[in-house]
Amino acid sequence: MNFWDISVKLLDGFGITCLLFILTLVFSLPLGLIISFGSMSKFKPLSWLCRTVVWIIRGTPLMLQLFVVFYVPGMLFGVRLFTGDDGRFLAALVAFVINYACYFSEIFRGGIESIPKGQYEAAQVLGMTARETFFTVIMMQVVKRILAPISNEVITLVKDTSLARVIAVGEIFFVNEMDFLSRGLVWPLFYIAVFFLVFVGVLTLLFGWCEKKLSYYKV
Amino acid sequence: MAYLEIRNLKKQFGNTRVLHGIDFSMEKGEVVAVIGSSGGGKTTFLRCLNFLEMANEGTIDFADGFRFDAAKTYKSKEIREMRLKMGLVFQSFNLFPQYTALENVYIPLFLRSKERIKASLPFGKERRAAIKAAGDGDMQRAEALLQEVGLADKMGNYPCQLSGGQQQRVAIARALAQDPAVLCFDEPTSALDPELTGEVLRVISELKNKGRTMLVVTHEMEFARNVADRVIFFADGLIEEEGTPEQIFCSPKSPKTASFLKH
Repeated sequence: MNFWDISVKLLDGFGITCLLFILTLVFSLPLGLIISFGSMSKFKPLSWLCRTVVWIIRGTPLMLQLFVVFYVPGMLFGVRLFTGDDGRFLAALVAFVINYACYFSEIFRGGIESIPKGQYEAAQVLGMTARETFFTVIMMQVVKRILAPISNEVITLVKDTSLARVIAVGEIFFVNEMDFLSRGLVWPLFYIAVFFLVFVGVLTLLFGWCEKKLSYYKV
Repeated sequence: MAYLEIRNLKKQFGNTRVLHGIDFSMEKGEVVAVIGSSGGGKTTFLRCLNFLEMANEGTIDFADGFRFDAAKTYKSKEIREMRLKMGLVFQSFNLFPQYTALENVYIPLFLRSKERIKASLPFGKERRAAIKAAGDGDMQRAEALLQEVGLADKMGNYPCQLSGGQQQRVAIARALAQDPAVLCFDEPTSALDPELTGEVLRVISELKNKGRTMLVVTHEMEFARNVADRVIFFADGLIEEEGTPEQIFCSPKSPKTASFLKH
């Protein structure tokens, strides 16, 4: 096993890590927004339901949720929803999306509720609909306010992807485990660390850039 | 018939009665100052007129023949239409911070133009052209309004780059954009430093000279005395006294008015 072989394998696993990361964001951000609307709903049963789901998901380990999503459908109903490598990936994706949507929903709720009532009232007296008020007035202010907590969560997600390993998704850890376990090589561990550091570094720069872009106004 | 006629308007929050039955009317072009101590119901009265609060009882008649009756229920679209008949300038401006002064005036105006066009034209080229033309017209109107309030050189500035007085003038232009029948002000200068109140009050006086119908809740007694055609004094959820500024300020009939004005 030389440096080159391990690099190729790492890149392979890194591809899966990236894919899991990006797809989780793509689905969990909108789902989180929907859940946050649900938990702010004036219709009590809906808000109660959403808050209970958030409580359960935030209150149990992500690793447990991965197991539940992957194994429980087969064990309880005898259906194997997730088969093969793609199935494993899909199961991990579902668990990540649900988990992260719940965390995001709380960040969104906090952001939306922090917007002063006056903004809504100003929009109302100008004849705006609820939808217009949210999309033209409220949303950009919320984005600015929640950028820091969201960046926290996104960076956590980068590292959480390694949990997908527990259901044998071929992400960066899984594909390299053999190298340091059976061959006794230490340096691939540090090599993996470099991948994560670079990834998170890029994200940090990206969020910093977004913050700068939004600094033209104060809320 | 009066330009705006309010009969027996009542509002309560839970068990707290805030308005006990307000009867009030305005003529076109009239400027009415509303004074009174805090908690007297002035702000709630304005909010009911702008349908930010729904009155529990009473009617509001508009000059165009439209009548709001608290006993009826209205759809959200109807409430939005009713709101457009009135304009409201807030104590804390409530400009949209992510938009420039010009966008603050233009965007709400254009959204309504767009809605009207979408309701009247089918989807297609013609509609797109109409929306574009309306957008250009709205942009010109927004620019003209900002000029009117003396902010021609601040159109591209964001609210955080403007002084309180300038922000409030943007808010006035924004409220004027949809040409409300009555423009209401809720203590428009209370959040301003003393040296900035003048520019806002001056804009309101200029609007009076142009014939705007305005209802101004204010603590600026000088302004009420000099600019208003009529002053109404609110106390404990009722109009305690109304009259010309001379009557109210020089010879108030009610002891409550007299004691309020003494302070």
